[in-house]
Order: sequence, then structure tokens, then C-alpha cells
Amino acid sequence: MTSVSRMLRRGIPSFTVAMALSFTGAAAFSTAPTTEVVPVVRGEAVVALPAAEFGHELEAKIVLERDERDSIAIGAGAELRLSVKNRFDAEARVTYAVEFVDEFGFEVDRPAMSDVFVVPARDSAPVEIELPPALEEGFYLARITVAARSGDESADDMIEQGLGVVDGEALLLTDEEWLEWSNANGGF
Amino acid sequence: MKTRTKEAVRALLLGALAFFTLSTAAEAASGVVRGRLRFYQNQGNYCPSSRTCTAARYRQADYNINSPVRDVKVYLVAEGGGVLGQGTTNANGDYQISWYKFTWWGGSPGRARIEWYGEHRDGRFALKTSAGGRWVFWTPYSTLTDGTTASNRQNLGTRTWGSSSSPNALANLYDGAVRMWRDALNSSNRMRNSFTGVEIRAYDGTTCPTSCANGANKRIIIDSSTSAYRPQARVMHEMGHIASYLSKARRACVDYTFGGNNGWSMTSQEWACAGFEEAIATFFGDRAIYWQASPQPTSCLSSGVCPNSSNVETSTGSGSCAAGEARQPITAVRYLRDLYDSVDETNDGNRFGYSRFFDALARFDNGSGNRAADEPWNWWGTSLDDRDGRSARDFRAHIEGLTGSSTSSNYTNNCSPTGD
Repeated sequence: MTSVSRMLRRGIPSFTVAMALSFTGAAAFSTAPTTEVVPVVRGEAVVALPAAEFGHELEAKIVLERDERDSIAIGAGAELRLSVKNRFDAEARVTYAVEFVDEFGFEVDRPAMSDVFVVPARDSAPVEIELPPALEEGFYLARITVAARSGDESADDMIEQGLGVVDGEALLLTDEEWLEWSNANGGF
Repeated sequence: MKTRTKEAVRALLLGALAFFTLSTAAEAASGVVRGRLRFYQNQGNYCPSSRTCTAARYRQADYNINSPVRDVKVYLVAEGGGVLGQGTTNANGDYQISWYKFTWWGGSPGRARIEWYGEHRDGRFALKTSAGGRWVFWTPYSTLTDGTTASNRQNLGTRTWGSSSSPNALANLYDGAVRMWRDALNSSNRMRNSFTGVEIRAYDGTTCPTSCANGANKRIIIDSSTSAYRPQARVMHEMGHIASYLSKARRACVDYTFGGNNGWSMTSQEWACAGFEEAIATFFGDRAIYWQASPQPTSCLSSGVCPNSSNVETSTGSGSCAAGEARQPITAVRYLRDLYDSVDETNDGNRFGYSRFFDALARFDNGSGNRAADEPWNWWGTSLDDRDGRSARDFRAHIEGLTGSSTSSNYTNNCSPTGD
């Protein structure tokens, strides 16, 4: 039984990123009066920030967004479906590179680079990454790096997508699942 | 002696002999192990060879090589569990651990492995999972050799996390934090006293889409593994926010909506409070890479090299500032940089030590009055009433009060960052 099968059959809970954190403003200042949170715009959403949080950090001008699915059936046509978002105020010329490695860092497919394509200002475009054929049961990492140029400005982004292949399916792992379940955190 | 008494005594003696035999069957094995920990360096923001990298602490030659895992607590953990000993790594990633283990008579100490969890050796900070749990970096098991000593250590070898085809993001994130401490914050007595027990949680892009810091809780959240390769704008910048808060506790500038834009960038126009807050965190973080004599310090969000346009030494200069430039965070960063650096002194005229900036922040009074720590907020701390308060202008007043030096030319030569 492979390490992936053992892990899944034990029902190891997923390390989701959607979790409740306890460091809200109520915990931040022990001596301050109750502080109204101020609604501000972050990204495309209006959120209320606690008064002790420093956030709104620099957003990348080009952003890769993950495949939202939980798993992909292995076989012909199996692909990761990402998207690239252009946050420049003008169109951007974009290209991306793809690498697939196993949990020990060995390449399982030749790195590939896309043709250059144009994404309109403040718009998105799909990025479809074909999975290597005949992936055996185990853990793999897909690294997709995107570079963009808009006028005189350039930007880059990267996604590392862990995959756990078992029973003909590739599970899309969170960063924590990838590090906890695979050998990626082993020093060799 | 009667036979029955003899038998009893004989049994007693045999029993005692058996007891002592059993009690000495458990022995202690001990030894000393050594080794080296490394990781594949893949962080961006290095000073490229194409530029003048005088006083740059992270250069292109340091990039994409195996680098030491520095200043981390390491543990020798027995197969099956149990910590046998612990130590720390030095600047070369080398460690030495004395271990001790009970074994049965004639038994071997068994196998053990090295584990580390991203905990700074002096407790300055520690990596945590998004839920506050522990990340485990581990090595394969090795059979321990009993009886080794400090002068005859068992070598567990060199272990490396990540490779050119698969860098380890967490190890890179840890290194970014180490660099920020070693090459920046450690220069301040104020930080040596207060920058302890900081949590760096990785990864949570839902709560903090682009990373964030909570000063009161001493907690940083890194949004994704991608950010691990962008140290200047992420872990170093966030540690800068924590350091800024530890210098002077205050409410954050929560309004980043000046002019209707969302979030901020180095060249977006912002309320003066938000602009200065981001500028001071940026300045604190940039010093981890560019020290005082750096002629071309750059600062940006990138996993590669910062572009020339992100130079924070170059200024537009008085009289030729663009409309709105006074509200750009980069303007305040350049002002701060000019107070610190030893470059172009004919126009700058000041060269303050890095630690003075923390001391100047500490001079902000409590309260919401002018030049006070909570100036942007109303007296009750319930809403913002002066979004241009606690600005670079206010900081200027405090650093001039601290040093006795005018920074007027630094201020005007860098397009006079907005503030009241």
C-alpha cells in the first residue's frame, strides 16, 4: 500500500486555509476601549479590519489563481485549470512556464513554456496545464510561473500545486497537505 | 544453621542477586552527533551582478545555491518518539548535539533523526502552520553510535532541503526571517529587548490575501508559498510592521482607500498615515538587504530582481515632483532612506543609525493629538478622524527631536511626503 493510500485511508484531516483565527481586534489591545472596525476595500471585497492589523500589502500586478476543484481524474485530457489575472491598467503580454516534479524533487516531465499571449487590462485568461501522462500513485508538485509585461512595468507570480495521485485520481492538495503528507519536508 | 533456615537464606541471597542483576540491565547510552543543515536558496530580491552591490547583504552569488539553515533549534529524535538531545545551528548551518538514552543491557541506542521546526535559536520568531501548529523538517534515520564524545563526534552528514528543480518554500521563508533578524532588527537594542516570540504563520491567503501582521499579537501571516520567495515585500516587510508596533504600540491605519484605489503599491496615492506605515515597514525590511553604503537599494514585490525603477535612493527632487507624488509610499521610503544612508551626502546631510528610527517611533506620545501615536483616530479610538495624521511629517518632528538635526533638506529633496 503506497504512502498516499495509507494517508487517505487513515482519514488524515485536510489542513484547510479557511479557518477561524483568533487574533481579531478584541484580542489586540488589552487596555484600549472597544474599537469600531472600519470597512475598507481590500482587493475586490469590502472587509472590516481590526484596528491592530497591518495589512493590505502590495498586490502583484499579475496573479495566478488556483484550480478550485478538489481532484482531477487521471487520464487523457487531464489538466489543471488555472487562470491568470491582469491587474495592470493596460493590456499585458503574458507567458508562463510549467514544471512537474515528484516529492523528492525529480522531474517527471520536461519543463514547458507557453507562447506569449495578451490579457486585456483588468481582465483574466484561462491557463490550462496538461498533467503528465500515466502518473503513478504518489505525490507530485506542479510549479507554474507566470511573467507579464505591460508598458514599462513587469510582474511575476507563481503557484505550487501539490498533487496526491491515488486510485486514478489526482487530489489537489493545499500547501500544508503537500508538506505534511509528502516527503517534501525531508532533508536528504 | 538448620536446613530450612539455610534454604531461606539461600533463597534470599538468590533473590537479591536476581534483583541487582535486573536493576543493572538498563543502561544509559550516550554520545555526541554533529552535522550540517542546508536548503536550496530561491528567494528573490538579491542585488544583481549588473548593479553596484556595495553594502548589499544578499547578492546574486548567494542565489540558487545550497545555503545554510542558520540559527535554528535542532532536535535529535529517536525512532518511535522521544527527544534525545537538542542543539542549534550556527551561521554555517552546523550543529552539535549531546544525547543520552536508556537502553537494556547490551542493547544498542537504536536509530534517530534530526528534526527542526523553524524555531529561531534565541526565540525571536518561529514558523507555524496556519492553525498555529508545528512544521516539521526531518532527515532520514541514522543508527546512533554509543560512546562518541565531543572530541570524537558521530557525523550525521549534510542534509539539504529542496533542490534546483524543487525548492522548499518554507525553508526559504525561514531564511528570509533569519536574514531580517540578523542583518536588520538585531542592530536595535530596542528590538533585542522586545522582538521575541513572534509567530510567522504559513500559509493563509484567505485571512490575509497578501500577508499581514498583527503587532499586539506578534503574529505574521504569510499568504502563500509564492510569498516565501519574495522576502522584501513579504516576511521582511511584515517583520518591519511588528518592529514598528513594538517601538510604539498604536492602532493601525486601516484606511487604504484614498482616491478610490484598493490596497496600496509603492506608487499609489494613500492617506498619509497608511503611506507612512507602509513606508516605515518597507524601510525596516529593506535594510536586511541594503545597508548604509548601498548606492542602488531597490525595493519591490518580486521573486526575482527588483527593477531599476524601484530604486529608493533616487529621488525626483524638489521642484520636479509629479502630481500626487507626495502621497506615494515610495516618497516616504526615500525620505527615510536618505536619513539613514551614506550615499549622496551633498544633498542628504544626515546619516542616522538604523536603531535611531525605532527610537524615534518610541517618541510618539500616547493619545490622539498631533504628533501622537493614535493621531488618525478620535479620542475614544472608535473611528478615524485624521487620516493624514501619524505621517512622515510627524516622524520627521520626532527624529529631529531625537537627533537634534534638521532633516528639512532630506524632506524637501524627496518631494515632501504628505502629512499634517
